[in-house]
Amino acid sequence: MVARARHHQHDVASGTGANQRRQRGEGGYSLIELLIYSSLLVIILTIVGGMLLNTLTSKAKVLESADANAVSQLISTSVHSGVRNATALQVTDGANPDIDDQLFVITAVSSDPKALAAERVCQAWFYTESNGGAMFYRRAAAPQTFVAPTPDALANDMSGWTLLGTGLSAAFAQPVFNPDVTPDRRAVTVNFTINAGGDSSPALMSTKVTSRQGAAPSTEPTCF
Amino acid sequence: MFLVRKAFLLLAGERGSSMLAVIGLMAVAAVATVAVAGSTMNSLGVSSATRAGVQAQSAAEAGIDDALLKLTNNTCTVANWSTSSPAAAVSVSYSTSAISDNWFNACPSRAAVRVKILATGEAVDVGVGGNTTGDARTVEAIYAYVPADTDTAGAGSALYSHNFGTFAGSSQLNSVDGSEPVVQVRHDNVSCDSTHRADTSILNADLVIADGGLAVGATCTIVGDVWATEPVALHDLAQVRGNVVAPSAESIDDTIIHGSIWTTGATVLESSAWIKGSVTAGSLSMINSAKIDHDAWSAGETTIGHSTNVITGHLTTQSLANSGPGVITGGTTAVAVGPGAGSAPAPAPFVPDWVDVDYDLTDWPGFQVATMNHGCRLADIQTVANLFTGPGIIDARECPQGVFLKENNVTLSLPQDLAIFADRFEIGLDAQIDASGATPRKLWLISPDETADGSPTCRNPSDYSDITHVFIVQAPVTAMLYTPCSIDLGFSAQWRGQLYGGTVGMAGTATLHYAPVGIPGVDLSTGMTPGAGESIAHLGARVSIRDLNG
Repeated sequence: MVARARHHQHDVASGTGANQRRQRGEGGYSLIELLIYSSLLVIILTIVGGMLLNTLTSKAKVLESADANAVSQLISTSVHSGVRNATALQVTDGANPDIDDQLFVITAVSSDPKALAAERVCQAWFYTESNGGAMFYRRAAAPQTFVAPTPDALANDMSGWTLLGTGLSAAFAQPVFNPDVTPDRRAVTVNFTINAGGDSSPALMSTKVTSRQGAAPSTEPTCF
Repeated sequence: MFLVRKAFLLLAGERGSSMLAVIGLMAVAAVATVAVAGSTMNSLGVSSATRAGVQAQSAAEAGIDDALLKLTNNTCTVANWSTSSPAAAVSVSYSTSAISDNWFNACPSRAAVRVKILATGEAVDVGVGGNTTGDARTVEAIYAYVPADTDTAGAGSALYSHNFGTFAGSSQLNSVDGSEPVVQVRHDNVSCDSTHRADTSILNADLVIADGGLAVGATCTIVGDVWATEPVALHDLAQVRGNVVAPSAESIDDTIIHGSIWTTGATVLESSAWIKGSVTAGSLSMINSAKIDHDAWSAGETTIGHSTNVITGHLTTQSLANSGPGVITGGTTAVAVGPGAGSAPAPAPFVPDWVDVDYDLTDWPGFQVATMNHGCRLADIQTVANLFTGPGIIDARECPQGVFLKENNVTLSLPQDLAIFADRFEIGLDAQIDASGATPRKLWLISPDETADGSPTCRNPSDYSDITHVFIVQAPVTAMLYTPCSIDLGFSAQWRGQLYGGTVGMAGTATLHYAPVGIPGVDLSTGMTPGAGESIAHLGARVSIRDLNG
């Protein structure tokens, strides 16, 4: 009897200790604690969210800038390599004076190492305000007659043309292709702006290329 | 105690939430960073490739210029080479056709018509991010190639002697290509007769004596025409196969003139003299056994002294004293007041005054220069000549005894065209000058005349240049010997080229094989300086230039 009583007392004493521990770990938070916690969480999430948004915005700008840079360099390099070998060139403005569309065609010495120096190729660049301001390129063996794509072709079928880049626009008061009209010179100045940051602050690209070739003889095949 | 424990519990509860936010932030930032870094690297690659392209393009252009310099200076010795700064690999090829696409990867030969230069330039700062599109650029340039001028204009005569000209023994003058060369003597008389032991000398050339006469005898034969400003005398079987133009002429002792004679003064024919052409003279005298196969024209008196004299053609004269009487087959026309001067001969070719050739390197573009002041023998010349990678000049004016090309069993082989300047040249024994292969080589042996006075200034008479013994200039070499002193081509020596001297003589069985050489910077035909002279091979106009892909 005495032993059972002691055991009971021991159980009572043991049960009291466990309850106290449960009360301490699962007792929940007070309202004050929750308010403080929520406030801190809001502050942290606000900061983190701001940083995320800023990061994503910067990322977009960097990507657009890099893309603009690549497109600009591609167009510039393309025109450079073509015009340096050009024996004749011609710039044709679009029929509509309100639109800055231009077709730039050259007759050039072939840059193919396997081709004879006497062989000629035709190359053309077409700038259009359509499609967000785009530059197209095409190339074919001479003789050829390159003409500007029609609006319908621009909208539906530009087969034969390679898109060099978009997001272009003509620089203020300057045509995209501005040929040098000095006799016996074959040179062109290329001016265009490109939306580099997506924030309406286009970058101006301007480069002048002069051919190293002599004038094409009258018997040479032409491209325009 | 309670508060500390509470705070610990609060922190323990917030740890997971913050970590979640940080992980999310890091994830998004990482994605953005990767994208931005990738795009930046791509953009950097494009920009660096553009920069590399500009550098490589400039390097290629520099390579083209380097090749042009070598080709202009005729210092191209290898077909492929590299430049270091800027770095470019250069290749030179030539074509013997103006249109075909067959190219030989070598420095241009004399047969070259076009030269192609291929230069691949390399960028100093190559593209990054794997963008190698601009690391190399190739430029191809094609130029016309003008080979060495083989035009004889300006080369002058086969033999030019300013004072006197003697042809003795059985010496001969002819040309290597069958053309008829010219012997020019500016002053004094020319002889080819027994007084100089002439035996059977043959001059396959026109002879122009600008201020002197001519004596021909002892079977000496002049195959071309003769112009002289003082009397011409033929005797002892001498022959002139062309015409004779002189103030007066005497032809005796079985001499033959195969052409015609023009004299403003007397023409005297005697002892079987035979004129196969016509005679136009101030006066005509046929002593005995003389023959004129065509017409005779005498502006003054005509005397025919023996019946053995024959004029096959018509005689026109002011007066005729035919005491022989000789035979005049075509009849006679006597004009008491004189028939006039008759037909005019062909004008005498111009004999220019002496051309003073000094040591002026500007007249020798493209020639490399070496100096020599001791040795000065064939072996030394050969050693220096072998060092030249293009046409060369050896300045041997400081050699005390001149240049000694007089040794047995020694051959000077010309790897390139060569000019030697020295006060004198001693040339002889059985030394030879030749060149390997069939490429024509030129040799100039020049004792410069530093006094520009239009006449030879021989500072020391001992500075003569004799060519003796069995010395031979072999094909394909042609040589010009120039000296204001004297030149004697004797013994059995054979000279292939030209001789230009203060006094020039030929003797023995020596032979001058004429081939035009000329002297750069002067025109020996007109005596003008600067003249056309010899021109070396050089680049012509640019035919094309283009940038190549790859």
